[in-house]
Amino acid sequence: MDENTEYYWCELCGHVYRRTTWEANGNRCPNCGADLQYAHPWEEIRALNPRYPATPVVGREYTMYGGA
Amino acid sequence: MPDAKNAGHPPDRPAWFRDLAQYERPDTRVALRQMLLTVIPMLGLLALMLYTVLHGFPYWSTLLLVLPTTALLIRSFIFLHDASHGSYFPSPRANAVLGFLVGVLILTPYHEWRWAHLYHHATFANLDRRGVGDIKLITVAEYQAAPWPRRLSYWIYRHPLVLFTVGPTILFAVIQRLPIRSAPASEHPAVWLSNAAMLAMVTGADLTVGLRAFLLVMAPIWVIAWTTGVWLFYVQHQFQGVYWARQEEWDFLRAALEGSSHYKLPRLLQWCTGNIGLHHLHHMRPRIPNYRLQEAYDATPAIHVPPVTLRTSLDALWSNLYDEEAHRMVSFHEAARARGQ
Ligand SMILES: [Zn+2]
Repeated sequence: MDENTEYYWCELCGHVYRRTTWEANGNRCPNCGADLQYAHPWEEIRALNPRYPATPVVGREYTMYGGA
Repeated sequence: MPDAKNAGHPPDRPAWFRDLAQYERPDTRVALRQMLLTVIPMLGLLALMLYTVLHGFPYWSTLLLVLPTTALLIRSFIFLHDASHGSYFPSPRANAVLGFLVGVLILTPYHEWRWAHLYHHATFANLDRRGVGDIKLITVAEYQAAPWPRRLSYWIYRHPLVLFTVGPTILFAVIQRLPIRSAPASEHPAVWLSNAAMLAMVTGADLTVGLRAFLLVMAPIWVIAWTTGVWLFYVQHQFQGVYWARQEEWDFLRAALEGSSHYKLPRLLQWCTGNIGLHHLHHMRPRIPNYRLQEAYDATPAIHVPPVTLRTSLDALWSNLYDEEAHRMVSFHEAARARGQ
């Protein structure tokens, strides 16, 4: 698991936030409160969705396979 | 498992967990086929039930059609549930439309339900984060320390003759008409929009077939569907042997595997309930659509835990309190007896 990733995508609600925002929120998703187990480094999601941008829009919802 | 809460990054997940991601891909064709085989027969059966009421058939002949119609409505609700996880259709808009429409039909405000349901996924089996999207549960110690009016109200609430009779109807028909107090204000307008759509549905029915006929058809369907929904949710998270833990000990994989059941139902019931019995898998990978759950389960021996069956699920009827010392659900009677010793 890449702990140096800058963005986490939340598997529960699909929103993306900076890792530091998750940390500031007690390591929970700032949108839905999900545990870190639901957090996936943006790079992992982007590997599934080549059409997604390298830098996601913070706070935006991305579907899991919306850019495949 | 590393302590994810301190490390600030997701813990390493087993290979089989990562492999499950491949099943989280929605498929429009399968989803449409499911809808075709569920929603259209349901609408047909509803029309037939209305016909029997409007043309003076004995009411028992209408009631004969209640069970199959309800089964299809419950299955439709599972589609709404998938939509709430963004897993039914690939398109978020299609999921939102489907969720809203099925929600209106079953008197559930979809958008707020989705918020509460995601909250439930974020907090399930966690004794320190109870209170939203779940069936109220308190511990033995909390029950014993509570003043008698609170104990009495909890006792009434958790009694099977309330929880599985009038309880679901009060929840769906009354409580869900108002926004949840702890929900963000941004969720509130969607509740009123759902209410308006439900009012339009009822008014439309009154102007066409008449309110009496509409209710003679819908009331038994609603009551059975709501009660079944509450029962399923109850068996999924408050079965005998369930794992609940305080925040500092809460472990995601344990919560998924042991804090959510595999409710193994006979094939027909499994179809009607859209594989929702594979609930431990659903909590592990919430974006697996209902139509891929069985396939994902079959391919993952690591999650083949002992299931709860139709018969053993009845043991949960008297799961009233959580005993933090014994780490199990107990009945009011057991808690009182243990205190007397
Ligand atoms: Zn989230």
